[in-house]
This record gives sequence, structure tokens and C-alpha cells, in this order.
Amino acid sequence: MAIEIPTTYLINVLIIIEIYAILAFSLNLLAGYAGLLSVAHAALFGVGAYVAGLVALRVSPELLLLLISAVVVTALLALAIAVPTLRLGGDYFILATLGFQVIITDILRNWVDLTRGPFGLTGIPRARLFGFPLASTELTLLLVTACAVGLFLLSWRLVRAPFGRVLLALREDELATQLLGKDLVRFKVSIFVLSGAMAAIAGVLYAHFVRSLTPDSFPLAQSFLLLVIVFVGGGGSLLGSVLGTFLLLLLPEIMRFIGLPSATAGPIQQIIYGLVLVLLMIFRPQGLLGRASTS
Amino acid sequence: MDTLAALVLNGFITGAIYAVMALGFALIYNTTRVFHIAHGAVFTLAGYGAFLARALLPLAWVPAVVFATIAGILIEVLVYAPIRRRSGSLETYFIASLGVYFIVQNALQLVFGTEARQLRSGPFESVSLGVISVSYYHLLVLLVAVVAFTLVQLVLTHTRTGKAIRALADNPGLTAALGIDPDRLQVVVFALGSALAGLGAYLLAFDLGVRPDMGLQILLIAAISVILGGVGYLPGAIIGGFLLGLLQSLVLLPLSSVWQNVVTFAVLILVLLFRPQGLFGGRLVTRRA
Amino acid sequence: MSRAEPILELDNVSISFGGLRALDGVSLRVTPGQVTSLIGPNGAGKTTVFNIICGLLAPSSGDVRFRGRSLLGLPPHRIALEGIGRTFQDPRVFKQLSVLDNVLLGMPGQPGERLLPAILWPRAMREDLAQRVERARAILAEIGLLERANELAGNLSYGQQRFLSLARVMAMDAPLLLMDEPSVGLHEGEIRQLQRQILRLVREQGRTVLLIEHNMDVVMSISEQIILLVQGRVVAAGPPLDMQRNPTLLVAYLGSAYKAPSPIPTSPPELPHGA
Repeated sequence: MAIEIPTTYLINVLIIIEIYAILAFSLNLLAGYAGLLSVAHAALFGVGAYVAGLVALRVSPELLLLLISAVVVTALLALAIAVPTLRLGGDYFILATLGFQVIITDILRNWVDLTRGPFGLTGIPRARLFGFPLASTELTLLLVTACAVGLFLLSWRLVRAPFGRVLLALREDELATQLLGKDLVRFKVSIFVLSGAMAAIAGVLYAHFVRSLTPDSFPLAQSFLLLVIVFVGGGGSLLGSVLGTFLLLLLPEIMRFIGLPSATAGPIQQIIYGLVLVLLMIFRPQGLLGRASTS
Repeated sequence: MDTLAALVLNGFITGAIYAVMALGFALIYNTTRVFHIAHGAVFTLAGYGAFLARALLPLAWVPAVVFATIAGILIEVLVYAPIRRRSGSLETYFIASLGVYFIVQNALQLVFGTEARQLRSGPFESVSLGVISVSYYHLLVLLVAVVAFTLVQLVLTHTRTGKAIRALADNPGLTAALGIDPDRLQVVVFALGSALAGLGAYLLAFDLGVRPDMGLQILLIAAISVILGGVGYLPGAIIGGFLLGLLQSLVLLPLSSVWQNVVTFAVLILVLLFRPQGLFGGRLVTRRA
Repeated sequence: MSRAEPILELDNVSISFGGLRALDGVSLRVTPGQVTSLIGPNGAGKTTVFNIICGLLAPSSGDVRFRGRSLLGLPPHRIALEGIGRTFQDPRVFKQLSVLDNVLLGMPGQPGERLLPAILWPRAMREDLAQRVERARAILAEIGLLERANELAGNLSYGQQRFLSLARVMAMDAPLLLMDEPSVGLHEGEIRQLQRQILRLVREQGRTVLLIEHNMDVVMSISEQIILLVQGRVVAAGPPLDMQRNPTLLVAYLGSAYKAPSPIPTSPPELPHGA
């Protein structure tokens, strides 16, 4: 049985998968390694994308400029959430990320002067690398792959280093970690800001790739999907996040092939994800490749 | 000053609903320490329960409370208890709770669609009292809230189970030592907290109708009310709810309604920055490892 | 350091929980280079004293001074860095990390724990890490856990986990060690090993140990100073000989669970050479 799948389609799917993989393993650093559950990852992704879109439209589509501005804005926002909440405890953090995620759509939709409101940003120019436009799909794939691999290696280094060891320790027993002299707040804030910065970079890539953004592009359901990917692949396993991304992004593609109507595909997918997550948390909380608890 | 009075009244009434919701969330959170985000789903489910019974509007609270209580108990028994038996970490509970929320929200969306559905057609009958007009809805909300708070207070102070719940909130390890079955106690706590969510849903749905995503917003507000009032102090949750309701209403004076959420969130950040123990909290209660 | 200056001092410390006055005007001094034991019935407030020293609880009145400097208001991790290590009633090892990683976590000031060095991984950091690993392995050898260095800490027996938590605190190189009931759950041989290790830390390395213990044999044989805490108050303090001469005092407060310890040897136990 030969199904004609055009190569551009495959490249596009791969680009999206890689962008989501960046989101997934950056979230894993936060939620899987450090145990800080954020439901704001989609919002941070969205902020990065919108900043890149606005800068590309109004200033210049120079890639380095886009990356720096997106990362700086997102990092500042992440800091604003992190500092008041992370010195208090995980539940305050969850609540703050929930609030942030919920209001980001509100703000994007209502700050019409800046974001063009519900119409969103359209016609975002392709990013340029030192003046050279990265116009073709192949060049975009190259750019996205370079970023994905680079950020993955950076994360890999981090978790192998003593820093990563402290993250795992604080996830398991914050008190004992503190009494060994580790400044928990510093660790938590830095990993949250780093994770947010990586989400912002994914946002820049996304804005470059899809070239139009609306306030509804980054909903809570997306943050949720990212958490599903992280925990299916395994908290504490970067490779698991990559694997999880492939698995969970190909599912809707398969569903589309089967021909499920799109009105129900969305909610049905979410129900499946929800069920998978609940069952996973009961029977195999470490996911596919994560560390099993030894207790 | 008509507008101000009306805003204050509305804020107070909305606040009462928030307070009912906050009390339910606080009961569950104080005793289990789980961030029960699925509480929002229980709320939404109850709302639709009331919607289904809209023909018998005054009695629609019954299916709301029943749906909510059963849902809350099921979540505890089918999801949280198994996790507890397998010594799950607090993160595990939260992720599972999030999963439950999404299952319920999307299931409701599949069945009822994404549009908001109303329970009633006309405006409420109201009575003019000087500068403000008080409607039967206002009175209903106040009545239900007062009854709910009184009942909870009675249960917590005068029944054995209630006292055990308070003990559980202060010192989770103690109850096992006292020979009380902690699992059964948790079920009671979830039943009670969810019943309150059911009442809150009925009250809110009565006025604004139901939508599949209504649970999350209200959950956010309930959680922030609890923090504002002070975690670990149940009356604080009630006061926090009223304050947030008033604040959200008064915000309408200078700003349009789209900024309400942002203001609520700003309140959260400010409280955490400057008075993290809330208005009435004593020592800051941190997560138990 | 002059022996008159205490390394740790509690000055009229009080704290209440709800209506309960857990500590009532507790004053005590710990002399450096000694083993001091804090004893008393359950609920007397001994762990509360530890929690206050470590900065986990703030007293409602009184002061805590370490090497002359007040610890009040300092966050727990800063107090740990000042030079106070602590073990708990449970071993509290990081079960999902290896034995070696557990010990490495005790060491302060590792450049690899900072974000940028961890990502960039310069040679200096690698060399620092190599030195740390060497030192961690030496500590494990001393404790007798070296062969299990790469195993998950969760796979160790209870007794081994206790020793691992001790190794972790030794890695901190802290002058003052707080140990909360370290002998619980250990069998005879392990208790002897624990005593030897504590004495080695104090006599050979010049550290100070403040111990909470219920095992009177351990208390009497290694302590130079004993402090008796009952219902939040210091009731008696003195060297073991004095305390032992007053068995009625001990029986009255500790109840029938107290049994007279074996007579105190006139010379200190011999330190074995090697492990």
C-alpha cells in the first residue's frame, strides 16, 4: 500500500515536532528534574513568539535581534513570577503559573494597540541571518534543527553537572537539600528562567515558521499537552521528552488520516491525553523513560 | 452613587459565591495538601447538573450538589487513593488532577458544545431599597451562603468526623495514631468540599449560565481567596472570597471587565510579595515533603 | 580556640506552638571539640532545639549564637554554610541518586552548581569535580560504603542509609554536627561503628558533635557533656559521671524505660586504626 506523502509535508511536520521537542525538554528541566510544575509553558512560548513577531514586523527580522529580544522579555516575565512564588513553595508557584497562563491570552487579546488584538499578527517576515533571509522550508528546517540540537546539548550538560544533581535532590527532599547548604531559591529561579528562555526561543522559531499568530494560539490546553508529553516520556529524562513529542504529535496526524471530524478530534484527543495521564500517574508515574522511584 | 452602590452589592454577592467555592477548596487543600485543580471540573460538572434540571429551577441545586459530591468522591477514591497507596509525590497528584480536569471539561464540551447555556430566560424580579435594587437572586445567594457556612461550622465543631478533619488539617500523621481511618476521612473531606463546589456552581449558573471552561477561572479565584485569607484558616478563605468579589466589582469603575483577571492575578502577586501568609495566616504553611 | 568559649550557645530560647509552650527559657552551651548529648523524654523539645538552631523555626524569644554570631533570621541554607551539619531521625538520603552523588551533594562551593559553569563546562570545573569525587570516595571508604558508591541510595539497608547520611554531612566539612538519634534502627555492631566514627570526628578532626539520643549506653560512653531537657526546660547539665551519680533524677524523668547503663570505662574507648 503506497501512500503519497509529499516531502514538504514531512519537513513541516518535522519542524513542528522539533519546536515542540524544545518546549518539552525545557519543561522537563523544570517539571521533571526540579519538580516545579508549571502550566505556563505555552504562555511563555506565546510571549516569545509575539515578541519575535512584533520585532520582525516593526524593527527588523534579524535573527539575533529576535532571539535576544524574545529571550529578554520572557526571562523578565519569568523572573517576575518566580521571585515572589518560588521562595514560598510549589503550590504557590503552580497557582501563579496558572494565573499567568490564563491572563496571557486575555492580555494578548485586549492590548490591541500592541498586539492587534483578536486579529493577531500576520505577515511576519522570515528571519534573516545577518541580512540573508531564511526563506525556504529547507533553511527553516536547518535553523530549527540547529536550535533544537543546541538547546538539547545545553540541557544535557546541565543535568549531568552538579547543578542537575541538586535539582534532582531538591525534587526528592527540599529540606535535606537546604540543610546541606544549597540555596533552593537560586536553583529554582534559575531553572525557571532558563526553561522560559528556551520556550521563548521555540517561540521565535514558531513565529518565523508559521508567520501569523493569534491570541488563541497558546492556550492552557497547550501547556497541558506539554505536561502530558513530559510525563509520558518520563520526568527526569530528556530523551523521554523527545520520544514523547514524537508519539504525541503524530497521534493527531494519524487521526486526521483516519478521518475523524475536527470538531470532535480536539476534545477527544484531550480526553485521551487526560486518561493517559491519570492512568500513568497511578500505575507508572515515571513514564516511559523516567527514573523509577525506589521506595 | 447609584453605580457604586450597585457595584458594591454585586461585588458582595459575587463574593459570597467565591467564598463558598473558596471554603470548599480550602477544606480539601488544608487536609490533603493536594492542589486539587480537578475541583474546577467538579464545579463545571455541577453547573451542568443544574442546567439539566433547569425546568425545576428552585430545586436545581439538588442535582448540582449530588453530581459534585459524587464526582469529588470518585476522584478521591479512583485517582488520589491509588496514588496514595503507591506513595506518590505531591507532583503526581497534581498532574493526575490536571488530567481529570481535562477529561471532564472536554467530555462536557463534547456533550453540550462550547457555547454558554443559560438556565433561565428573563431577568430576576427585584425590589427597590433606596439607592439599590435587591433581587431575589441576591437573597438566594445570601441565604445559601449563610446556610452553607453554618452547616460547615456545625459539622466541624460538633461532630466527631468534623473534629477529626480539623485534626487532620493540623497534623496529618496524628490521625492514624488516633485510630481514625484516614482514607475514610479523606472521602468525607472531598464530599464536603465538593458539595460546596456544587452549591457555588448552582448559584453561579443561575445567573451566568454554564460553559465547559467556567471551572478554571473560578478555581483560580478560589485558590487566590484562600491565599488572601491565609492558608490553614478556614474563615480566612470566606473573607478572601468576599474581598475578591468586591475587588473584581470595584475594578469595573476605572477599567473594563477584560482586566478583571489581570487585577486578580496582580492581587496574588502582591500578596505573595508582601504578605505571603495572607491576612489571617499565622506562620506560613509550607508543603509537607 | 579558648575552651571557655562555646561554639554554640542558646540563650533563653522560648517557642510556642498554638497554645503549647514547647521550649521555655532554654539556655545551653556547647563546648567545642566535645561530644554533647541532649537527652530527655519524648516530646521534651529536643528536635525543636535542633530545628531552631538550623533556622527552620524562629524562636519567640531568646538568641542562638554560633561562634559568637547570632543565627536568628538567617535562612537555613546560610546557617548550614556557616558550618552546621545535621542528620535527622530518618536517614533522609536521596534514594533516587547514587551513594556517591549523595556524598557529593554535601560539598559546598562547587562551581558546577552554578548555571553558567555547568553549561559551559570549563576545564576548571572538571578538575574541581574530579577532586570532589576523590574526596567523596575517601569519605565513603572511611564509612565502609565505597563498594556501593555507584548504587542507588534507595537500595541500601536502613543502617547503611544512616551511615550514608553521616557521610553526606561529613562531606560538608562542618565544625559542628547535629545528630538526631543516629543510633535508631542500628544493630550492635553498627552502633559500635557509629560511636567510633563520632569519636574520630571529634578527637582526630577536632569537630564538635551535639547529639540527641535515647540509647543511654551510647550517651554515657561517648559524651563529655550531657544536657537533660524535660518539657521544654533544661533540668540538669553536666558530665556523665555527675549525671550517673544521680540515677534517681534520671529515673524520675525518664521513667521505667531507663535502665542503668554499663559502668563508665575509666579510659576512653580505643580508636581502631583504619576503618
